[in-house]
Amino acid sequence: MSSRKNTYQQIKEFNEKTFHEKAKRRRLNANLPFEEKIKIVEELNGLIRDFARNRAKKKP
Amino acid sequence: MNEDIKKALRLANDMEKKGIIGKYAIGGAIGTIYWTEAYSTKGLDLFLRLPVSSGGLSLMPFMSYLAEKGYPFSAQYIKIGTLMLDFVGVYNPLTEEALDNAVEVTVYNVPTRVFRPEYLAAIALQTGRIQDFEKVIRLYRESNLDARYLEKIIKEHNLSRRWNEFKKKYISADKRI
Repeated sequence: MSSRKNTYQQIKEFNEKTFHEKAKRRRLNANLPFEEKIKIVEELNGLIRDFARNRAKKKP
Repeated sequence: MNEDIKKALRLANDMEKKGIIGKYAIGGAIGTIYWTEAYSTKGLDLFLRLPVSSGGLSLMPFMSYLAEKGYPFSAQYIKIGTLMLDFVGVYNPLTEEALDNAVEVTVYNVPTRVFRPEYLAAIALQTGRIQDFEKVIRLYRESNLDARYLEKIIKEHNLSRRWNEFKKKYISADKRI
């Protein structure tokens, strides 16, 4: 049980660390020029569109 | 999408210059993205005032102008390339105030205006759909919004109860935000 607790604690610490890294990255990304951010929006829209198309193709 | 946004803003500027619409500003998802990390969206919401004539709101010149330019309405949208452009008339005191306090910016070398993050958050909170709450979270944690100014807007527009519930559910629950 104590080994499992130790693992949970390690996972919790890892999650905390990655959370703070992600938050830092988000704030950095928020400061990108608007035009750059719109390019990212376009890429994200494309990825979502491709994903939807591929999923539709796989459906019998 | 870059070209489409540029085209949409030029279109709005032209209409404003000709008096077909009153003052306008970017709101919604693209307005939010101006202040936060990018996320997927296809819609550009332009909040505007329509000129008022003796007979009430003057919609005809607005519709005629868009039709002449070859931009027919599809539901409430105008499609410009891949962009869904939505003209939203300011519909309550909060959106009126947001428009009055919009920030002058230049994007793609086109002068325009964007709602301040505090107003975007308050409008999203007032609208209250799941995607709106996501906007509030993004604005709260990623933009440099002025928390005191946001509190003032919330109090003035009777959103305190909703804001406290929101904070309890989404902000206090995760102190890391």
